[in-house]
Amino acid sequence: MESLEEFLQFLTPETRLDLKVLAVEQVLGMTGKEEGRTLLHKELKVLQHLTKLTGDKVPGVARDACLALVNLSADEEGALAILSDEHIRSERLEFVGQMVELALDRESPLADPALMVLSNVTRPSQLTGKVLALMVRDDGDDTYDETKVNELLERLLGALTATKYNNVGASLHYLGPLLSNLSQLPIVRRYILNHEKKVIHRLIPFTEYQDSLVRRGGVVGCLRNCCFDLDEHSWLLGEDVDILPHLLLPLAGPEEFDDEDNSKLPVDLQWLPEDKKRENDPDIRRMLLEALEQLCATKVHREYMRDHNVYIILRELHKWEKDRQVLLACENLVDLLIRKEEEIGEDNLHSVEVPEDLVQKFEKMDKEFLEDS
Amino acid sequence: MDNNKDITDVVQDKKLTPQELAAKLDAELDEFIGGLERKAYTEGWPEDRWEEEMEKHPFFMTKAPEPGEELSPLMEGIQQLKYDENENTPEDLAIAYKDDGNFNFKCKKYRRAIIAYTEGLKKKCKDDEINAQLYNNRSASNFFLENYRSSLNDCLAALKLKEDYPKALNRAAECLFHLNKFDECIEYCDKIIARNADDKAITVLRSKATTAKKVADRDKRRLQAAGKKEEMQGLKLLETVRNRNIKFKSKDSAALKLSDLEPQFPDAVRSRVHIDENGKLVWPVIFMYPEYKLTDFIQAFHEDEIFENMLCEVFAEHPEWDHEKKYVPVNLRIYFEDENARMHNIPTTWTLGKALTHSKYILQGGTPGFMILVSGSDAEKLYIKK
Repeated sequence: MESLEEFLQFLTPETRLDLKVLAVEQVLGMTGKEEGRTLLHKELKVLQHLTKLTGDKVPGVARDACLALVNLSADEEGALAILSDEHIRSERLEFVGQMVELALDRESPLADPALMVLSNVTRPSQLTGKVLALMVRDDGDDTYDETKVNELLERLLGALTATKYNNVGASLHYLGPLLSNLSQLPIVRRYILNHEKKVIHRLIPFTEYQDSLVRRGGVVGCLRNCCFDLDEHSWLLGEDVDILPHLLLPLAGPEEFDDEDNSKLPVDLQWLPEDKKRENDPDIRRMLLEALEQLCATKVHREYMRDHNVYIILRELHKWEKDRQVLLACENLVDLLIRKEEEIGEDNLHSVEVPEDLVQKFEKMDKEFLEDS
Repeated sequence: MDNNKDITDVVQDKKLTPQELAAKLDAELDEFIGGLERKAYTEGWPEDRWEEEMEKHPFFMTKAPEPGEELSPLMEGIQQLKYDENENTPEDLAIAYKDDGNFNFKCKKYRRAIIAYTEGLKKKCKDDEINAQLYNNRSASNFFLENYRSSLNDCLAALKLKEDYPKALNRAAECLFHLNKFDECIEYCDKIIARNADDKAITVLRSKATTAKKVADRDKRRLQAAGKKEEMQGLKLLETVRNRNIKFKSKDSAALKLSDLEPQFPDAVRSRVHIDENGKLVWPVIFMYPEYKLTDFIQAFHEDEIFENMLCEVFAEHPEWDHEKKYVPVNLRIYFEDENARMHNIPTTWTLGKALTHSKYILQGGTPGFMILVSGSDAEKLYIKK
């Protein structure tokens, strides 16, 4: 404990260079171990120091400070500790503000670790709203100035969809997970689902983005969250957005179908070549299936799915799939599609009340299925 | 005394009323005209053609002269003044041609407008703004003539001189759509929307281009799939034929190729040998009747079918040329000629497949051929002994 406090005093921009370098290296080393992180979370001034040092004029010091923050925020416990009320509001504001600054500064070499930090602290659902408020510097914890939020989101979207945003080599791939986390909030989904802004049109091509699993997965997570808004299903499936082929294409493989089956599929999936490869990440495949399942909530859209021959893509996926969670999601979706509407009997599945004992029974069955792997 | 008289006269004039003064002046004018010498009206417009003459006058004409139409001397002079390089700077000339082009454009005379804009560009004036406008306006004329490639090239030239040129950007996007270059069209639409997110027409165009691109991509994939399927079928056919140990007359005597199976005879073209659902070969076959120098083309002869059955089918009725009515299936004999010009007989109880594997049979032109002759006939004696 004495040694910890001894070098913590050197975590300031004013410290002599060699001592500063050693101190920040030591802290970064500690953040690599669980016990180290636990100790550091109790030192409230560490957050303040590291935040300041991310702006240090010595590049190595700034980088190590930022990487230390990535490690400290990596697990939920750490994220909750960093943003607990034990840190005064001005410190939290400075911390989040500095991360946003680094992430969106075109000349910042620390954009990627800064985005990792933001992604980490927005992942726990109890923190998402608080962090967004800090990002736009709003006073309330649960209310937002919608104009400020939209301005921030526009900047994030601009960076996410730009061919090349950062000028010094940062990829900004973690904008995907950050956006996915933020889309848990209704105010963010309102922005993404605004019919006039056409934000979602800029997102849907990323389901086929090959340069980064992280970016692609983040956008898919965001799209899945947007599919929970039942009132938007007609627009999402309509010709303006036409989201169906973008969710289904990554699930389609090289299998051959006859001309009749091909003709019924969405145009993007007709006559796929024999070198077509499926999305190779199981989590992304599962999220795509969950999005499609949400879109099957009403009868009219289940009929739409049947008319577009979604079933044959799922049938071939099911034959090919090895991951148990993906198989389960696939079977849930197939169940909705292959049964006749008379068997389902419900127009809107979201409004069905399931008895508590059946909920427990279904959860138990799902759990047993997953444990069988 | 004279002085007094003059003064009196002046005073007297000033006392006239306006009416009296007018009458006085009229009288003086009449006196003057009456005093002129009289002469005939010449050199003026004839009374019966004054409207036509008026139309030609540069100040009053209502439409531009047609090509080849004679210009009035005044119009010709004005034109020379307008376009004379000694009288104008290159910039003035470029503007003059641009205005001329714009006039023709408004009259929907797009070809003439293009000529004018082109002349303007030839002046190579130093003003990029003027040149960009000339390119842009020429691209508009080309667009209305549906010359989309030329229109696009003019747009790009205009944009090179003037980077932020919404009219040229929009037209470039439209041209790319009409040229089926949907990827580039979408790219330009995105550039335009980035500057003006509320451009509804471009949003619609982008949507159309996206849909058209999807359909074009699908059609390309379908063609590739069909081509691949055809290729696979071709390979399977080659393998099946190869398994039959048939000898082929081939140009380079190398491995059997699909081209060796392409029928060479006019009637048989597009009737290449194929595989049926049971993996059996079905051939196009030529029957030759040398006695009458005629042939029959059998489009589909299954390799397991015997010749006797096919002959019964072909000669179910006497053909017109069989005047003696002697071509009856039981009387017919089947021959083929080997590579040494010797004739070989095939029993009618053989299948086609068996005949094709005869040690002397050479298949050529992708189409098996056999001679049909009447047993014991003079023709048979003639051909077999040869």
